[in-house]
Amino acid sequence: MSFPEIKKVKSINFPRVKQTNINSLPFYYLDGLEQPIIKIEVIYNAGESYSENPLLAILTNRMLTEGTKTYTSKEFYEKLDFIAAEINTTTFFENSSISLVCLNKYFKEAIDLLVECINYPRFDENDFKILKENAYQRFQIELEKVNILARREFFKNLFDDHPYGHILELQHFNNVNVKQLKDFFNRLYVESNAQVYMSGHIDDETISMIKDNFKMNPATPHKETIYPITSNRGKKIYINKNDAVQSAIRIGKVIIPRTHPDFIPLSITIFALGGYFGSRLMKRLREEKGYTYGIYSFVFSHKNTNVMTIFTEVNTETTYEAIKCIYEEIDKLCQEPISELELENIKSYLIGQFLRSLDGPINSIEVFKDLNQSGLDFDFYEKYLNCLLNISPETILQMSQRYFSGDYVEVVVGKLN
Amino acid sequence: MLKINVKRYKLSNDLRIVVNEDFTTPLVAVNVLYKVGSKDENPEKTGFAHLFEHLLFTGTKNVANFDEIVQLAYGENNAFTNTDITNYYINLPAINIEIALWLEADRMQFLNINSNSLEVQKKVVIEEFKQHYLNKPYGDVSHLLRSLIYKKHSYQWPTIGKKIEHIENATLLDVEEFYENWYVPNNAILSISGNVNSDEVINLIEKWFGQIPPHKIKLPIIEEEPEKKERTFLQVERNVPSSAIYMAFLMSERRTTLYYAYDMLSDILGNGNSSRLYQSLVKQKPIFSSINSYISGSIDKGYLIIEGKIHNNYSLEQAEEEIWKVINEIPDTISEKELQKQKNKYEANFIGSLIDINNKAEFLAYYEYLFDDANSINYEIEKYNQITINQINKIIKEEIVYNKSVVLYYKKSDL
Repeated sequence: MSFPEIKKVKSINFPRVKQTNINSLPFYYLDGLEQPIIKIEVIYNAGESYSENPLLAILTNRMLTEGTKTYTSKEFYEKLDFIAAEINTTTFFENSSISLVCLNKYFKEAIDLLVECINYPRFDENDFKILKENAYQRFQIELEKVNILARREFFKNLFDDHPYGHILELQHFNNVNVKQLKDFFNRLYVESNAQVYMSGHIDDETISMIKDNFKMNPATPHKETIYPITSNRGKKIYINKNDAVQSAIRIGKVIIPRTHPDFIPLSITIFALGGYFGSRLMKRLREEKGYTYGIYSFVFSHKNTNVMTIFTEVNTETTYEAIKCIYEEIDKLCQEPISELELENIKSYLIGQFLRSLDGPINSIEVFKDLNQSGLDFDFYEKYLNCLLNISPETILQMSQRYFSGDYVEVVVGKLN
Repeated sequence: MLKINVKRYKLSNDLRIVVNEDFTTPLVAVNVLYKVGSKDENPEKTGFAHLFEHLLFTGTKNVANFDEIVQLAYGENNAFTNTDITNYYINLPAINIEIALWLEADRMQFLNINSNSLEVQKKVVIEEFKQHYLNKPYGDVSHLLRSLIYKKHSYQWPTIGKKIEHIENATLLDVEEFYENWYVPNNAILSISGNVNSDEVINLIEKWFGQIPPHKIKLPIIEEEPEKKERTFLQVERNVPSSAIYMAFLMSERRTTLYYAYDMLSDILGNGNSSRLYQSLVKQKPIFSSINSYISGSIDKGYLIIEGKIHNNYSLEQAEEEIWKVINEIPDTISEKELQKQKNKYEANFIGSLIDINNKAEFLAYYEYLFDDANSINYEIEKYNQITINQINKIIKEEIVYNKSVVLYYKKSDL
């Protein structure tokens, strides 16, 4: 029986995100979900980098769901759970997010609760104390994990004095109080500092319900301080952790911004190195050597900068061999062009990834949100797709030679000998 | 009620098929469930079902590199193994569905494993073992707990395996025997969800899977786990930032009505911030930094578990006593509203989990296995809705009791 032929995908339909405004608040949405579910996410420019103590951003965000002026924390969760809605908060370096997922039939009740959270959080002293202590304990557990330690050391050493390098430390827990949280909230959780993204099963009624009920603390002007990026190169940090049975490795450096013409081909090159299961690093360190369960390289994006990182956890016995293999794989990409077949693989895989990340409104709005926050839109992905369809082995070689040479920050945490 | 359209077929070799047409997506998920998990393993060769799942990605006689073909067809594929099943899926544009069917049919009949691929995958799985079960705080809990809860049933080891040596000792002969016995059409369910026409797809399935011969399966004898008659207790000391407690209770099988009652009870106890344990022991009396309750969800007798991390100024004994207080308050205090809250949550979660076609295909295969009819997926929410306060009260009074408890103290060492 002859094997079936692979049919080519030549174009991708990018969805059209609609935009409306509630007062001055930009509101983006994408409808078309069959199931009766709606998701709303509010993003504030209020991440960890917005104060000296990164804990301020984290706890302020978390306190949004610990009771409001109308409801105690307990009453709030009773109401929320009864309508089976979920409200989650997440804090990143630059942004803080609060998102709601609910069934359409409870949308009105859910929106009312969300509006309470983002405008009138209770900031109760006792709830704050419990939240802080529990966060402290969870953080201590995190600090036992080699991969977490390696990631922390990596960013600290890459960025030094820039806010991107100020990461959470245990001592930050000693000097944070409710007053600071309230100030942080009043300063940053305002209309002029936010965007809203909605997706799911949306109709005219949903939109008018949003327009009638969604409100946010009115705009107060604020200034964003932009710190020039300073990054280190070539630092090597080795940390011994005697009880480790695997070593975590993290290698990387700051690369060009998304607006640079080389950014797209470079990110494809980084993908070839370690972005998928058949990548150079995965093939060599996992499938050939069995040093690790997995190894990846990817581009981590801040608003104003991009970081290439390679990370893995390996058998402690083979830590140094693993590092050597990583650099050899980087070198190989700089020395010989990849084969047409390998490139074909990468292209198809990435196109497939596009299709999956744009499958349905809930996935698609995530992609749009990510672009929008960097001041881009789906045009960027049209360009990306174009570049991908036409990229040659020579371009991959050029990118490797131009950007992969030396000077990586290298962090190893594990049992070292 | 849910209305997921389901079409079911069976080939002459007893391969069962479930198709869900979903024209809202350009993609399709092709899912193959094999009715074999770690519970079917030889107690001296544990971790094998999972190791075997790894090996099935290293290629078949016709396909040297499985992932490469999937990727060239714009797809992604993965798999998981648990105590009961091994489940593979490929997600790709629906125009390339035949590629997925060809690959899965190949995987069912043309194993191609050599000693080199076996040796490498053994190493990879051992690193997975270390990464998830040894190199993380509290990583060995599932090993400890399972061996306490199960004295007879083969759920006593986790899917990764009892110990690293078992993985090291796997041989090519073991691999071949395992494959011959379990990877046959009469032990599999093929489910498909996505942009396909069911008549067309069934013809393609017949084309690729129709010729694969069935094979009589040797089923291992799995002993039923007897009811617990007295408290089971273990304390270990580990270098962790805070002590933790785990309290487990054997529960009803997946296919019984009471399974749903246990599931709801675990949520009343400790799922989410409005749950009883969280409100009492994290908020009112802050003894725990976190506390949860959930069920293991396995097909044979699973367990309901309560687990919490304790603030350092409390002892494990105090913590356990406080949990018992919360448990003992439950009988006759559950309100209709509290029950309705749980029912609403199941409805929302279940609907939400079926947005993704990979999940939908996986669930369809699993419900076909569980109840011999994938349509049962449409009655799942209803089954939760029918649970009564009386059923939950009966469980808490008769089963969630001291003499049937399995308790693990995971103590922070005083180093």
